[in-house]
Amino acid sequence: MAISKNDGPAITISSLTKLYNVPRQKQKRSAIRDLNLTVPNGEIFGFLGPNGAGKTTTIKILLNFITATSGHAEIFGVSSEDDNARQPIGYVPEQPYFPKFLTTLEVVKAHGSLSGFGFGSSKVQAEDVLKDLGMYDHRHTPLSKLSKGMTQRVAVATALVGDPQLLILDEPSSGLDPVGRKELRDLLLSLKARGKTIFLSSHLLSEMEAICDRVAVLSSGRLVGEGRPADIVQDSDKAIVLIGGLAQLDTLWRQDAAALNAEYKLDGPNVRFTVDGEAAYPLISRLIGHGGALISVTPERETLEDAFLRLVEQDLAA
Amino acid sequence: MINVFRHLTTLAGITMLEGARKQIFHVLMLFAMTLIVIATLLGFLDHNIQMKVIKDLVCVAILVSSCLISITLSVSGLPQELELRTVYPVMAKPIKRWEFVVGKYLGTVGTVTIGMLIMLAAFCGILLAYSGHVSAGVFMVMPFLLLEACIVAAIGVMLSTFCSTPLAWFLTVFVFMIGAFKFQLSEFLAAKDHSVVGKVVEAVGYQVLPNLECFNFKDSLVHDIPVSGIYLLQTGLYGFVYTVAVLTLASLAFAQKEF
Repeated sequence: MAISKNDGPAITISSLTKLYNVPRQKQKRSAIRDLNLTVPNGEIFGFLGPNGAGKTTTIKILLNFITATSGHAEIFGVSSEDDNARQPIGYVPEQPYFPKFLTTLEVVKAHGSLSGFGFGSSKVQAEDVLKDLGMYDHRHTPLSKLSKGMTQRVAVATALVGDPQLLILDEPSSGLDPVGRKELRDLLLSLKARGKTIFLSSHLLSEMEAICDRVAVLSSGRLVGEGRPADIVQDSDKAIVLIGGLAQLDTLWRQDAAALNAEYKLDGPNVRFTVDGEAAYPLISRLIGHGGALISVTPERETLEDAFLRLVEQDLAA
Repeated sequence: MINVFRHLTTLAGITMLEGARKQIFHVLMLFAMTLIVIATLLGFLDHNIQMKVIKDLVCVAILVSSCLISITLSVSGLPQELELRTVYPVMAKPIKRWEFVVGKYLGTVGTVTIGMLIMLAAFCGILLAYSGHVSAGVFMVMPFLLLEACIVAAIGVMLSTFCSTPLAWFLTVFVFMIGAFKFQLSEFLAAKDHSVVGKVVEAVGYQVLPNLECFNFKDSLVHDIPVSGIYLLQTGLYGFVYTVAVLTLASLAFAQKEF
């Protein structure tokens, strides 16, 4: 079946539910409940959620490792239960393992062949990908001799070797050092620039915020938030005021801060105030009156991590 | 069709490479060589029928060793892939479940073939050293010993799709033993048990379990008895059909698996 990669979304998930039998119990446990999700083509899509939220279960259904109890998922318009749906997919599992008696090149080359390349071209493809990932010098090294970070790179290589349109990455930064993480981030951005779609499940929320076009937050198997990172985070009407030069033992500025409901925190020689936006100017005036010097005023902004924790806590409370 | 061929050869290739590099394969090959040496030494006990005894015992040593290798590798292949999660990156490619099962099986057969070729070389070396020639019968016996090991490997793969590795190992050894003495066992049971239930169980067992005895042509090698081409063809066809049937069951079982 021909797969059109340019039209329509890369992933469409409709009313997806997965129930598991619990031993010695009549009731089934739900891993995912009525999940609806659309991943546009050509974007980096972040898939967030605490452990046990159902992220890996969703990915396993997309890859047809497990079957959904109800609902369905499509990859470029093809049902995920069709083996052809995996043609445009490259997948990096969480904590990847490979046959330890094989070498890096043997494994990556085999994945190239399984992706549809001929034996000759899969070797060329494998070598190119290993060069891109800085693993070419280790091409003849048995996988049992590689470090965790290197094994992770091999996993990325096996995913990239077929030149897939859609990359599904489950915690790809796991095991990578900061340099490796930056290289992976740059790689993902370059893949996006080439029009690839990246479906990224990760716990590193600061990285997700930096590179994702859209994110979805999953909690207890349900979607609790979806949109662009800027849409997920809540606007705040508070301001952060950083003041230097205040005598730290002085009680007068503390009284002024309390009068304007400003929270403060000592930050080295400076003091960091969090105050309602409209009270910021009066606070600054009073603090300057106490000998303080204004260093900066910034609007308080919720990070993606704050938003993630808020959404998950709201869901758990509900 | 090209894709199916490519998938099968790729999976078989990496499975064979991995199998041939595994320590357990090297240990079993050492065991096989030890058995062949012991069989050769035992042949010297009787100088009159020295070559007959050597041929007989070495064939038994090759059969036992190759079946032990095929059982050990076949029962651990699929469960190990699932347990170590090496199955994930492979099954994320556009391959079918049955291709994975058959590819793994062919790889195991490839490793067993490597082992048998080494044993054949040793056998030929012994024959050349003591009789100065290698009879053509050797090259008729060995493919059927390999076919027997292939059937045993298919049973191992099939059992490993729904049994734990140790249980699959014991069950496969059990089936191998019954299959190797099926005819004698059937006659023994027929003489002992006259109940209807016993007869039904025996009849079903007789049809379902493989007849591994028919692959054993060592007597014709030892005593230089000619075997008709038709019989060889029928035996080969029986082995092929039985293997395909068992692998079909294994593929159906693996297709239902969630991992």
